[in-house]
Amino acid sequence: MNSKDYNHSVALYSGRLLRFVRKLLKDDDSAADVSQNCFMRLWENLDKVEVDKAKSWLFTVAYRESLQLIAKKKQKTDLSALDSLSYESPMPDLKDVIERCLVQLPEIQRSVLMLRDYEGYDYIEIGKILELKESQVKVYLFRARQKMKEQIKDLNLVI
Amino acid sequence: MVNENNIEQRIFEYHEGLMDAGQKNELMKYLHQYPEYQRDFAIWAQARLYDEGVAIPVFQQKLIKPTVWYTSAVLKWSVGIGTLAVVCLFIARLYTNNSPVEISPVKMFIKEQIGKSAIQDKPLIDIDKQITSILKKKQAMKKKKVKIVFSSAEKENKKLIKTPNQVIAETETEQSIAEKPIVQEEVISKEELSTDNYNNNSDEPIKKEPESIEEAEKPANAKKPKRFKQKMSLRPNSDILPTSPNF
Repeated sequence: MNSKDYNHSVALYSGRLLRFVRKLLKDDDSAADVSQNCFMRLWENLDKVEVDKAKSWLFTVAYRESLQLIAKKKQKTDLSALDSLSYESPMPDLKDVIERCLVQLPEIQRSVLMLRDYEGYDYIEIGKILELKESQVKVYLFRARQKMKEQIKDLNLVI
Repeated sequence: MVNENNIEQRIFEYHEGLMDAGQKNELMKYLHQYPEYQRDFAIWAQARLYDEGVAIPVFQQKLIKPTVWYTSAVLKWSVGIGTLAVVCLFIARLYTNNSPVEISPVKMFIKEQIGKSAIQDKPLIDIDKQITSILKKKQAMKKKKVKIVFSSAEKENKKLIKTPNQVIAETETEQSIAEKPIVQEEVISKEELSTDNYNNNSDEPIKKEPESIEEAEKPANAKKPKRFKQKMSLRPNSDILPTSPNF
């Protein structure tokens, strides 16, 4: 991987990485810091990272750093989650329900869901990024979707 | 087999694309038989995240590194030219080493004399070194021979050939001998007796050059008979002369 490939990766994956980290951390500033740090580490490891695996490498590093940051600021994240839960729009639509459900999910289920739906990774690739088995990925994804289905079902009942 | 215990898992697998055509047909038949699960089937289809596009982050321009346009092309060309030059030098070196060495007639003569056929196989520098060393050795041998010849002929020349000064000196001595009476006794003066040659404690007195070939051919250990004249004194001998003052 050379500097040209690095710049190409920045142009392609910086926005996706920021969205992934933002939804994990629920903090825009921290998400920006983590994303920039990931690209700085990519620049430092240009010789070690292959061009084809740059995206998964970035998401792996971002996920690890996000988990470390969550562990440090666990109480803050819980409070922010509570704040987000306390916020209810008068007429919630499907998007709001999904976003709210996503916030309520555990980090691992959230990460699996985002990597699957946003980035389009298969189970094997998600397992490599999150260091999970394929069967574990399937189970986590099933549980996440099941919770979302319950939220959507409740919304439909309200409507 | 689809039943009420695994219907949610089957619907999940259907939406994840993990089912083949047979499994899909089996699930559709089950949903057709039990329509209360059709609503769940529709909700499962909605339980996913929708990609609404990605905004360009503010820090993206900061992350982009400036690329130098000449790095790749110039480096490739320089490395290519360098390797080509090295290969050419290597080939030239091989060619010069393997080329037949032209040996001059002198060198060939020396080679024949020595009989070392391996000289031709060695590089030219080695041959030159060998030839120079051989020439030096031969010159040294010649010098030694000349010295030996000269040392042996010197004795004969000393006997036969005489320089004009020697001839003049000899004629003068002959004339003086004819004129002067022959002195039989050799007299050693006080000065000669008092010289360091006889008074010093050194074991080896200074050797005089042999005046003739016969003397030179004598062994060095042969001692010459030394003749000393008794010291003359004007004092009267007491044994002969009377000592009495009345005499």
